[in-house]
Amino acid sequence: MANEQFEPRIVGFLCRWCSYTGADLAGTSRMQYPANLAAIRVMCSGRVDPTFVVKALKDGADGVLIAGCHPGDCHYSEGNYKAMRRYPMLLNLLDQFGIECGRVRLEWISASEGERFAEVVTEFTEQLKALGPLNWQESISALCTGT
Amino acid sequence: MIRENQEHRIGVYVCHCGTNISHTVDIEAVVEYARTLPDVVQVREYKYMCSEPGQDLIKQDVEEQKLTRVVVSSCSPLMHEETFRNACEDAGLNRFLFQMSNIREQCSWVHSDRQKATEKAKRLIAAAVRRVHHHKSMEQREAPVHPDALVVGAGIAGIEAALKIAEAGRKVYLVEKEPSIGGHMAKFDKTFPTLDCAACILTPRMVQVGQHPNIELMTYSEVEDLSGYVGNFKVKVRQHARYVTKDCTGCGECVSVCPCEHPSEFEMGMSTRKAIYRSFPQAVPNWFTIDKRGVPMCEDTCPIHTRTQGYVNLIAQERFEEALKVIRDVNPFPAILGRICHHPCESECQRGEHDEPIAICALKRFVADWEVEHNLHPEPVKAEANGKKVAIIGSGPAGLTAAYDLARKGYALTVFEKYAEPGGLIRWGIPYFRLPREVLDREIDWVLGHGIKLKCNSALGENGLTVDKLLNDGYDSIILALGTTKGLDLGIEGEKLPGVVNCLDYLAHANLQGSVETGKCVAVVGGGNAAVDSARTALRYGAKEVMILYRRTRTEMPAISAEIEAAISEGVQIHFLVNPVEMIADSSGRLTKVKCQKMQLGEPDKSGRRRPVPIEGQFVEFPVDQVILAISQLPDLDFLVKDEDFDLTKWSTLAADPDTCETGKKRVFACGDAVTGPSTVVEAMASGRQAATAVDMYLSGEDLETLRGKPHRPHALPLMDNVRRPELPQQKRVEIPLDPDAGITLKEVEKTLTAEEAIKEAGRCLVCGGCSDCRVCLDACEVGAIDHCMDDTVRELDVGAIIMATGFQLFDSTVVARYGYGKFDNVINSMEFERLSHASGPTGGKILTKDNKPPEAVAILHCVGSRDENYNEYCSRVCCMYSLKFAHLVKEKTNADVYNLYIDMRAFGKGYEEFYKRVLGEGVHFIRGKCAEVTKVAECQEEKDKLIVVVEDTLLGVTRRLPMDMVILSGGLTPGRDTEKLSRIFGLNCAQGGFFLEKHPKLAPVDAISDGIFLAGACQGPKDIPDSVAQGAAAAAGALSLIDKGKVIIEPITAEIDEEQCAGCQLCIANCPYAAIDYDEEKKISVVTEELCKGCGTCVAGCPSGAAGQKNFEDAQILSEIEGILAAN
Amino acid sequence: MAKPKVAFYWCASCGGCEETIVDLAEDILKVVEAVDIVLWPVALDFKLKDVKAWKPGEVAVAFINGAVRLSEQEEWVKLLREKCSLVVAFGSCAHLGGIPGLANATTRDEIIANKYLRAPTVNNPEGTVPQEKSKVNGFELELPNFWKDVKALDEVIDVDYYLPGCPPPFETVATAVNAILENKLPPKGSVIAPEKALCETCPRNESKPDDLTITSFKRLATSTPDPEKCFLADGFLCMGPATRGGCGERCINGNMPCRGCFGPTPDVLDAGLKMLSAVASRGAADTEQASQDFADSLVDPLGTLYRFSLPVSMLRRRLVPTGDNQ
Repeated sequence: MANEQFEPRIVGFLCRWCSYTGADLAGTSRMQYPANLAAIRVMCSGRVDPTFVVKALKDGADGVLIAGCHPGDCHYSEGNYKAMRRYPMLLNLLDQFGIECGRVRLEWISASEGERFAEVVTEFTEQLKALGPLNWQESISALCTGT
Repeated sequence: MIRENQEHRIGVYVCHCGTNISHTVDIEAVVEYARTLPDVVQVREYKYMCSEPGQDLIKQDVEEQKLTRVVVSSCSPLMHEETFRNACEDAGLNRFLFQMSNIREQCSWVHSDRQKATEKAKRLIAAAVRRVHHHKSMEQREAPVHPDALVVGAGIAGIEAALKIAEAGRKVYLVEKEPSIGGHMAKFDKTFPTLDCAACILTPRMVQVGQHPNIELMTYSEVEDLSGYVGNFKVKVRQHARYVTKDCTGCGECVSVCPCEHPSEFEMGMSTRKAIYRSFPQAVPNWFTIDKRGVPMCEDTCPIHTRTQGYVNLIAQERFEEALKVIRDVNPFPAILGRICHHPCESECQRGEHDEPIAICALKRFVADWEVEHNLHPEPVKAEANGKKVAIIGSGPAGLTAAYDLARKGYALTVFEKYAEPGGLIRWGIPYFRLPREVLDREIDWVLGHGIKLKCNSALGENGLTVDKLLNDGYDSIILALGTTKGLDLGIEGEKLPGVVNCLDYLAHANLQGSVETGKCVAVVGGGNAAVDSARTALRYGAKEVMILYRRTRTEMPAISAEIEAAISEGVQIHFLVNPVEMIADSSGRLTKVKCQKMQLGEPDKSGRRRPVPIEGQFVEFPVDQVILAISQLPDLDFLVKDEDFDLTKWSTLAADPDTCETGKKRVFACGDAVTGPSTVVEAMASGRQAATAVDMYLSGEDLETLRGKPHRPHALPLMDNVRRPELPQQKRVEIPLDPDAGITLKEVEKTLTAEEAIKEAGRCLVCGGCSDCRVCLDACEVGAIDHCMDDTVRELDVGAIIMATGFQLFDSTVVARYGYGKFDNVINSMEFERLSHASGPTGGKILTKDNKPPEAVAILHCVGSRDENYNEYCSRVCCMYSLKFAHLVKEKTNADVYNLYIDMRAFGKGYEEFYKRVLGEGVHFIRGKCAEVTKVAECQEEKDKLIVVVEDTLLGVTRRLPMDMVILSGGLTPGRDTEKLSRIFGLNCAQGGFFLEKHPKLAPVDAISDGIFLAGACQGPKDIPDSVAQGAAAAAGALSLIDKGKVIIEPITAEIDEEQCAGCQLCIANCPYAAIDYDEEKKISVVTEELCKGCGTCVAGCPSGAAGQKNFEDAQILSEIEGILAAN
Repeated sequence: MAKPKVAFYWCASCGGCEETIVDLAEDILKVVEAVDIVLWPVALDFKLKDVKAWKPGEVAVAFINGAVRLSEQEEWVKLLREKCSLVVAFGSCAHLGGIPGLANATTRDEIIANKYLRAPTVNNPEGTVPQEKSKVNGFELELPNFWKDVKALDEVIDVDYYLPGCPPPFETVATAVNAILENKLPPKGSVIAPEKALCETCPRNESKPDDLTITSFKRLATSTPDPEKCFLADGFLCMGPATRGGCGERCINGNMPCRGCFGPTPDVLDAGLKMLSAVASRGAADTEQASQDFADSLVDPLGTLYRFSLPVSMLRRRLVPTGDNQ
């Protein structure tokens, strides 16, 4: 249900070395993108526990972005590979929980890719607008009552 | 919500950042909102929180309001986190009880909708406030800083950095991958805008580096690995073998004797250098380097490892005697092997990948025959006797090679031979028409001339000559090189009929007696060289019809291909896929027919050849009156195995150790066909050499075990790819001349090459090994500084700080195909022009076209590969100025018209605009427009044979066609070739364009993202010499301030494992790339070694039981941040 | 002194938990000697009215097994809560939702349709499905309400202790009963099982390689695990690293990977996600495609990772688009 007024809420987990720096670069370069995403800084995309993603969706996020260094470029040599492996497995699981895979996104954004960061946020916001709100809390309450 | 029971007093500080934040974010609304957040007792806003008064606000509140937590909402934590943490600490609050939210870079600067940006700022502040509840006091770790520094790259920036640090009294390792320091600047002619000569200002600095007691120069070296952390790095540096030691005086005698030439990298391929070379005369260090790229395939494949490229390249230079010396170093039989070797080297020759392999074998024969023709008699080198005696049984190629090797080491040799004359199989097995007797005799005599005693008619096992007797007679060691003398039977009916002979008997008879009984219609069974030799011999002794019966096909035939061709051309018929099953006689008992089973090819066997399998019920018969069996041979060892110390293998050969050649009897070694089974001559020689080496080591008391499993050196690499070289023309190999008079007689069929043919053929060698390994330089070097067996060394360095000064590479202009670079002769790039204009360059500083004429018109195209979205979008900063310099130099040195085609002129540096004006005044034409193409398609007479530069003059609005003699492409600067590899090794990030990223573009331009690593020069982005030098000095200052502080603070964000919860599942151990987690066998839990942990937290996210945590990035902290973001509004 | 009174009750359960009591064999007599069993539907006939007649707090402890899905079950457990001093969630279903909890991966209508309409053995041309109220021969019949989802016991009533396991091993039952009899009770809300994960006591933990990597997941339906090797190292998803120990490694000893019936270790928000993160980290994949293939080799992640705990997982159940008839 696309909704013109609907502004999706996005939580972003950005690795400190590449993607957070890339997001900062988008700022220093004054690139414009929608204000829907609020970022949480982690040391490495490998730190992103799937629990965080689910926690965000459960607490009202409509989408979650995980962003890290490009494969091969991880500051910690291979943390991003772990993120890369967890991601499709998490999507498979979320699919079984009835949560669209389009709500969670994994991206490789280097420290120099400010423009890419802005693009990703813009695109992701549009994508989530098309998907409509998740409203996990309300939907689940409706399903968890008796009659 | 994740709750923490403790009550907190939180202060929130919202920064306006001038108007940077406040122009988009409604500060007042944010402040109001912050006041509603749990446990927030103080909220303030201020114009510049990071300023002194801003920080004082925080300090004051911490003290007066007894704040227990602080949140600052301002810019990125990457910018000011440290500032505010320090402020907290100054006020007595632990620095980690602080959290920052980024409402500038990630909010006010990227959003324009005031309402939405304000909402987002609220979310970010709520996240920080919730998070900070869970913060804990932590102590920072301190680590000492190693006082030494590493500079990677010794161009002008690296040189400057190294000198500055060294001058401050600190030790510097300066690592440079090229043989000399100096980088690009060493190649430049003049420098803009002052036009002083680059060498004049650079070389004194280079010398200073070379001589500085605090600088350890590591040239021809590369960093392979980096570990550790700021202040305590461990660096692994590979020093490539340069094959010349530091005893080198730089005299250059070696260069004059070296036969190999390669395009000079330093001269951009416009002239050549030798395989032993020094990039340029002022190189530092001033030692030479040998360009070895691995063992060439020809040398590696040769069983005796003849240094093929060595003699081939000497032949190319008409240095035939030296060539022979190279051959005889390992091979006493150049004339013999030059005729009959199966030359596996030629099938591996890299030239064969391009057109046809070098005729290596024929070249070897050529020099050997040339020596005879010129009546030269090289003196056998006699070594000083070492007093030890060795007996060799058998004078075939294996025995004689062993004797040759040992004699040259001073052993007293006696060779015992069963027959009347020496040579073994090469004498009685190889026909005259392939190997004339006089050639054989001459070379054997020459070997024996090394002081070797020969005893003919002395067969082991006869007349009391036994192994034990020889050992008793005072021989220190014995080598058995007995060969194979027994022909194998087929084991079929009719084999004992008269008319069926073995090839060994047949050939021996023919070769030793000069005559042999031969039928009219002869069948030879087999596919090896003995079969082909037998067939061709039969033709020569009266057979009318000769056929070879072979059970597989031509592809599997082991005989030398050229020999098979020769046999066919002489009329020998070959029947493939037939296998004799019966010899049939007529009633009088005379052989009349051979009956064969028809075969087909099945699965490949162990040798890789497809196994022949019978086609059931299909037979064919051939009428014959003689059959020669050339199946295989075996050694005749019956007499030997009576001695129980000797054993036979299951293949009936003599048992000997494959690596050490030892037999079951002490002091007795064995080699050759008797051990290996039938092989080729050169293989037998290799076996003899192996035995000689073993005996020498044994008698010198060395450990034979070291002979096992010797590592192979790497093969030759593909052709040079680093320098543009002209398209290598296709050139067929020389044809082996045949003697038209020989016919089918005993006369030698093949002829030797003429000197012209040989020189031309040898010239085809690509010297893929870089150095040909002829080793003539060894003699030329008076100080003995050359060592052809040097190995790379790997050193581990401990350093506290690292400076990257790895420079740039010139944009590859071939990519812009429309400019014709690499296609048209006189389109050159800027580095090529630098060398062309340089007084010590390929033309001695004359600016000439490829046909050595001064150009009449020259165009200089700016921005090639820069400011172009198809290639690189950035401006390379130096091209405008060096293009002006080029224009000036061309004007100065020629009478040419000079055209500069520019987009914009960028003359921003000190004195640059003045230089632009000066060149403008020199009559150079300036056209504003980007060149569309460079073509040779003439449209009028005056364009004929010219390079036509097509450009739109955007000031005049017309398209112009300019006929030119030379076009210089002012290519941009691109990241160095190894940038990506280096960024991985050093954990650096690359910015747009691929250059190393600095920590902050303005405030930390020489700091890399990773602490303790600094950037200098063009590796950080295109820059000119003054800027590179300035950065070198700045980076040195950064490194020195780190080193002189003597300690570094390490963020305590490591992982930790809760003993009470860890069940010892160990999954975290595999997840850690730093081996920072170990399994404690006693406690049965995983334990983190804090010093090794870098704090990525990957193990934490991968811990299934929740026992692992990461300090300051704890689950509770991140989860509450999520709650904060989503709870707002 | 009067013997303390004990009640057993079952909700949505398979009866396996009752087996644990039966497994006591003749020791049951000792139990009966020590306590007075006042309710045990599987063995003894008591009615709702009997229970209603109890005084609040009169019964010392109720052991309730099974998940809660019917209004009738709700009524019973609320009643027991009122009358009993202590309530113990007995077994995985009461503790975590258990196997019946997997029904949360589908909808009520789907379940009814499968059971009464679509199953190949069903002959139901009129399409009769159970109704809460129906009239037969003039009589109004009532069935309990069948909830939209399955709940663990503590989502319906306050629970004092949890005895995990499917079924709980009787050693832990004995421990719990003794603790109650001797009044040596742990803090309210405790799970009567060790805090550490199963790996601690797993006989195969020693065989675990330092660089454990999983190329792709094997399934028990098509492969047999190596009886000596750590299941994960052998490519089978074993929930042991994320599951409390104390079960006596019953499955492991039967060459069956741990399926998680003892539930998550303390402080873990969601054991399924933790396990997913742990095994995915050890995948052998180095490209996005390989990671996808690796993920796809884990068939039915939801059923595997939440076999016993779906109703208490963070996401509780499958979301169904609003507007669908549930």
